[in-house]
Amino acid sequence: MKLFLGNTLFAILLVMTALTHCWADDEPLPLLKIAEPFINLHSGPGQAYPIVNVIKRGDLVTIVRRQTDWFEIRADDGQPGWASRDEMQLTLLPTGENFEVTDVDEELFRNRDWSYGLSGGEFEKAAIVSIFSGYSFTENLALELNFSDSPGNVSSSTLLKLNLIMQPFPDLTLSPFFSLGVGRIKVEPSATLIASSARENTMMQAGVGLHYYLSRRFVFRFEYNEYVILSANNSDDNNEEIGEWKTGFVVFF
Amino acid sequence: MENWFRSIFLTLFVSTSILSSDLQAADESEIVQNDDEQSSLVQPQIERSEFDESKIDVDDFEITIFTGLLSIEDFGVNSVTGFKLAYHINESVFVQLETGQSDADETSFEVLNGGAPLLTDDERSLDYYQFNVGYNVFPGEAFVSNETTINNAFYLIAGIGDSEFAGDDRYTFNYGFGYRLLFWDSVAFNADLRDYVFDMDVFGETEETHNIAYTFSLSLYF
Repeated sequence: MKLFLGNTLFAILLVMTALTHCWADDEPLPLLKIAEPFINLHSGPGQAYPIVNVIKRGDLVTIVRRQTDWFEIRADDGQPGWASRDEMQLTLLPTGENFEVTDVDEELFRNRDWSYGLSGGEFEKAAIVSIFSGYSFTENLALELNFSDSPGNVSSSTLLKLNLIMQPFPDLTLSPFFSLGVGRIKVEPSATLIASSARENTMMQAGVGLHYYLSRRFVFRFEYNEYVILSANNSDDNNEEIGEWKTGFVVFF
Repeated sequence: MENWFRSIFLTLFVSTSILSSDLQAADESEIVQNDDEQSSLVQPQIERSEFDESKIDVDDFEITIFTGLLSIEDFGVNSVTGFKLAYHINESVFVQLETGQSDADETSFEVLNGGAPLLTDDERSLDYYQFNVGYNVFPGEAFVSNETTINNAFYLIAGIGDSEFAGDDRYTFNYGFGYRLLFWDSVAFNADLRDYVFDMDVFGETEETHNIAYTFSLSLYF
């Protein structure tokens, strides 16, 4: 079951990745002209990699590929190396315009369409791990599908819920949000307990949380949720109420 | 008290929804006005460049296949295999989903006892998934020969998730480190050493188990 779940998650993520990832076509990119006095080329995509090459103003280069905020470029003489986005910003296109790369910043986060995230925390004294995917209709309103897994010592729960996320102040770096959700919860008692079989119930949830923009496509999230599990039936006339807190992060596209 | 708490939530939610939709409507009408003013001005004819940023091949994702050895406490050392999918957020940080499978051996008790198995074959299968966050601490170069240098990195990694073993789901966390050698720009070889920690109650008492794994993997950036 767990393998199936893990592999399903894996497959979903892979498809999401393929959907959000644009395959570059074979069409050659235009030559760029260096406008800075010089650009340092590192051996790898990071500030810590040693500088192996320097190209000077007026040289022509092509971009091979990009990884995070680094570009692998190839100079006229065939020398490859990695240049940072900051250094590439002043490079000129054949038309004489600046080669402008979209800066992934808070503004882009506010105007995000799809976001994916994961979080972990505590659900009624048991650990919980969640994976979620959201679509933002406006800066303030998003719909999220959330899948959670809470393996506990007495019982294990899996939750599937649909959430409406309301972010009243999207302009703030530390931005609060409210959420309302509805979904299903399945509780399976531990194998070592001689207990009743698994049960499945509808649940409702209300919560508050915070988004904190960290860098690039990376947002920190903290949330607190209250669940009402509609478990009342003939033998048990009380609904269960459960509290949950989680921290995690969101990646957006 | 609970009802009071919930009604505050609801009131906040509804009022902020209404407030924000009002604000947005106001914004939109302003934009329409600005458009009208601008259309009366002369628009300069600038030829847009053909360059399309999305044509750059972006390699922020990494798919990995791994195999190695996992020591399941009391259940011997066995092979483990699985997949990982990572997204590189910046030059230092990456997030990763990892899923793996291993089959547990017999415990010493079972061997000595002679044929009374503690677990069924199905329960002996350990299936897990983990959400990890990794941090590249020492990126640099490895000098293989006079001519060849290979980019490498040492990274710290930790994560949380779930393991299914002995018929139960077990909350699991892991921590460890790894070493990455980038043979080519898009192909890497990794060696990882991790400790997977979960509670086990197979012997009656709940105890924390440390299950060490070392794995080798091959990954592709795309």
